[in-house]
Amino acid sequence: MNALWWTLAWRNLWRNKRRTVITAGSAFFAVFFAVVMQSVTYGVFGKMIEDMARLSTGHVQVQDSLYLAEPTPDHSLELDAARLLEAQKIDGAMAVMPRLEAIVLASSGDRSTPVQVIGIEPAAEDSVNRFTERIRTGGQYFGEPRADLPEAVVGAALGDQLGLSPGDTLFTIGQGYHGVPAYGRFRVAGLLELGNPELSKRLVYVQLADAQHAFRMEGRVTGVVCMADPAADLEDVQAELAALFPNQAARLWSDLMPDLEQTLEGKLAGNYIILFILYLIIGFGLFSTVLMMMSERQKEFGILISVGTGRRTLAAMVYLEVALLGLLGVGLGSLAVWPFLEYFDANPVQLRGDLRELHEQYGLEPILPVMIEPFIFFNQAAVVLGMALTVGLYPLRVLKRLDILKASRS
Amino acid sequence: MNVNPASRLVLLLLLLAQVLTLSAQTAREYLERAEEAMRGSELRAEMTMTIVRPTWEREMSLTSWALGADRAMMVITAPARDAGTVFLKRDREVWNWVPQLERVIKMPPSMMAQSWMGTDFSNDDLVRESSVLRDYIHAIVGEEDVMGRPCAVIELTPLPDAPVVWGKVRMWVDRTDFLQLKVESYDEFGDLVQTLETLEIGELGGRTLPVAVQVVPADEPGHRTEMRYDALDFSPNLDEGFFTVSQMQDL
Amino acid sequence: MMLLSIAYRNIWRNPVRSLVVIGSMVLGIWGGTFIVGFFSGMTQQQLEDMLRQEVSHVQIHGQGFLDQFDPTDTLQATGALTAALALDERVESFSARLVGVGLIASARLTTGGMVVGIDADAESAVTQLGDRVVEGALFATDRPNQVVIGTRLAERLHVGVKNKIVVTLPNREGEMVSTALRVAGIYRERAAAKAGARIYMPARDLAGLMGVGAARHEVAVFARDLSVVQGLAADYAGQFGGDLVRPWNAISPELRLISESYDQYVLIIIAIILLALLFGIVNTMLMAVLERTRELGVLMAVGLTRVKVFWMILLETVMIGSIGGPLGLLVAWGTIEWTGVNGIDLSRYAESLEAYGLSAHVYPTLDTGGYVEILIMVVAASLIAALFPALHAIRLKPMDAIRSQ
Repeated sequence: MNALWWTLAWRNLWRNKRRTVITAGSAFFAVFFAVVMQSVTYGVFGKMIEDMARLSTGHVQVQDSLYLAEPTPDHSLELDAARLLEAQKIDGAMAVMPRLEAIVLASSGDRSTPVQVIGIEPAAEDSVNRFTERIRTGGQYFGEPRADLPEAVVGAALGDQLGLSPGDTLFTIGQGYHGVPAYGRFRVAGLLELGNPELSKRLVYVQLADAQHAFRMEGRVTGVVCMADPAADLEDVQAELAALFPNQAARLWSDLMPDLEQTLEGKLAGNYIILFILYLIIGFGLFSTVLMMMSERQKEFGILISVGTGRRTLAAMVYLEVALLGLLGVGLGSLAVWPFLEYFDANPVQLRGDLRELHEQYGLEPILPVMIEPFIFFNQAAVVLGMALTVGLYPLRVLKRLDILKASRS
Repeated sequence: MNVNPASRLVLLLLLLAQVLTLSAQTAREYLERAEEAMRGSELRAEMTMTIVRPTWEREMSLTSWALGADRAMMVITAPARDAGTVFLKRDREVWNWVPQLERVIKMPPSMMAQSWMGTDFSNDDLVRESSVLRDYIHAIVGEEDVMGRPCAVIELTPLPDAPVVWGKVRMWVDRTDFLQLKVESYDEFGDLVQTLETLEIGELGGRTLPVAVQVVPADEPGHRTEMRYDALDFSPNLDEGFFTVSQMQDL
Repeated sequence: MMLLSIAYRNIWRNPVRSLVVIGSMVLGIWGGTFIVGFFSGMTQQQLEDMLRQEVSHVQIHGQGFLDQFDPTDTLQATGALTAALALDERVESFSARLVGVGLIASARLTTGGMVVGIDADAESAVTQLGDRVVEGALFATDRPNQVVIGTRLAERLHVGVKNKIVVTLPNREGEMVSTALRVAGIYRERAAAKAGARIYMPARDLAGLMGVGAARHEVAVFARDLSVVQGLAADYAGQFGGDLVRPWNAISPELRLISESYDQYVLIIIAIILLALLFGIVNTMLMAVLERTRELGVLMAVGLTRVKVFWMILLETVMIGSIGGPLGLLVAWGTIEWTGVNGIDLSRYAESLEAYGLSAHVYPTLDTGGYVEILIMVVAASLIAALFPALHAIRLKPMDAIRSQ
């Protein structure tokens, strides 16, 4: 094999422009479709994880190692400002937020109900969850912290249940660190519209410092929640957090939301089937074009062999042609699909109707996301190219058995 | 970590000392006298509780009043931060007065599942209705010395339908003063779950009784709760009207 | 008329080519249809799994019950409600329950949880509780005060079958009452069960304990088909206005979120598949025409008008479509029916699914409407596909065509 063969193969391709265009086009569209499909799939799954992570657990969360089995304030960890700052500097960490969560009894007037108190850093959480946009009119998000009157932002459904309005007082009674009684008195700053009715009925947000004081665990938190950059490798972030908190456990969202992971895994499995069928269709399309190409050029092959071109040589040349067609199509396809996806990344398809409403209710973006990652392109290109190269083997078989006389007369 | 002690048995222990005569020979008689004593009795006690864990320790002082088995009031006197907190039990309901919040809270079932103030005692035990006499079959199974005193070893087996979590309870009762010196509680598998044992016997309020006891969960090394009585008054002249919600706030 | 027969014979003059085109059509249509059926089956299944085990189709509660779980907030007319449900043809099964929030205690642990009074058969029909009992049985005998608890609770309480637990909860009068229950069975809970423990005991025993008689707090309904659920909920909301009637999508917006966003994404995938198919057809037909350039040139030279050539090619493509299309749909129907019964085993790809109570088998399903839709799309696609080669054919210049190749 040498440069001559390649040149010949290339020129052969362009002898019949239309056929070349069509066959390469086959490969082109194959890659195009496959990449778009995978891109949308990963985009949607990624967003599902992202949305769920933002609503509750974060992408990675540092907890005391016993907390997962028994989520009580006793299983908390120490956190000082310096370590928090270090955590925020981690490559790939978009936001790092400390939280103190505990289940207590909330009471107002003569009504009481169990609730989940979450001590947060208001600014950090707001940047991730956009709470300020979801405060019911008449109330507000946290103002300046005041030692004499700690504020609470209460789930709207909970507020309704207890008959709370901004300005009312909410009492919390529970157990803090080491079983000490933990009492809190808070002024309701506002009611928060949380899409999920269960959360709305249960959550009370307060300032972290106030929670730490109420539960008598100054300097301690129950979780350090990390939201990662979209492009970050979660396991890397996890490893870095684990290194920063050596005596605790850095848990991935999948550890904290196994249900979601299972659901997605199930869907991914289904996706493989779909991909498989797509490849079947594409593969067959490629095969059929090559098949027809062979039958069309029978005469030409017959003549070439009869004037002395070795069958093997001819076979190699034809194979090269198919390979080139594949490369051409795959290469162009990959190049073309990229700006196409970039466009939809910048201008995503908007969700409609009920689904849109639901997303907005939860504070989630109502779009159809695409994921643009090199691995998607490489994988699909590799598969399609592989198919082309395999399909290219068929001509070899044909040529081996070509009946010269019959061919020349076709 | 929420282990059920027999806190009813603790009360029992305090009041068993009322049984003075020694003619009771059978287990049932021992306990009958004890229950009888409890029903008509009243008590005021000052005590200190120490909670011991592998990595920390905490102390609490409280004063408590009890009338029979169904009325009890407890106020925390130390540490300062918790001082003034009051618990009231009437029959099977529990209230909590929190001075910092200036509020009375009635404890709902969900809160009762937690341990009482972080000790090895459970809130729910305060309301669970069970009677040592009615819910168990009793038998004396042996003799043993505890703290140098000869004791009858009584084995209590709960009736199948009794609302009692134990599989078996063993009590060591001193033959002379009828002091309950040790109680071992077992689950239905026959495993020891917790032990209530006497640390010190002394005289308070004119009686000889265990003045320091501790509850030790069997499976948790380094965990225990210790109770020490600093003062006891067996005739504080209490009446029903003392055990009210409004009274809580005046303590 | 003659054009038709010419077109038909043309098809079979080059059997290889035609078979290739038909083949790719059949494959493509089979693929597309099967995918739709597969998706349908998968989504419905996952939805049903979750609906079965947790939410049910419709839940009806006594007004205000869910706020404080006050034992007195029973359904307004339990008897009338259950009677109506029993007669309703849309209802597959329903379970009337009593719910108490209280303490569950063993020798090792006291914890809070829900005590649910059920009728074992009804409950199993609605939530398949019976299937999920891994140890012991669901109220095997008529002995009173049996209870079935979850595996995790059993572990935390350190109890097994035949052991005793003590339950304390408020009765109608607000007094705390206790009772001893024997563990008759242990059931497998779902993976990340949200709130605390949930234990099941015979409703009549709990009713006796709580003093509520025949009244119940909630009813979970499972309908024969997902499509009737909204109507069902609306009807009962109207008829039993004093109670809180909620269909599953109101109870669990997340379920809706997950399933609906997936549906929209599926539409896109199907569009892509059909595009791929379309392209395949155009591709092959175009090549077919190219191959016949000379022959077409000759035909036009000897007098076949361009219009006739156009129609001829068009007819050829349509005919191939009418063979390939229905054939593809038939094969698809066959595979969907077969896999619909036998299921596709995905457990290789998602081993943990089964452990979490989700089925790793997919049962594709497609209703007649679905097939019809696809048929229409295929016909439309074939027509469009046919245009390109036909248009190309009529633009040939006869003389060049004859001399080509």
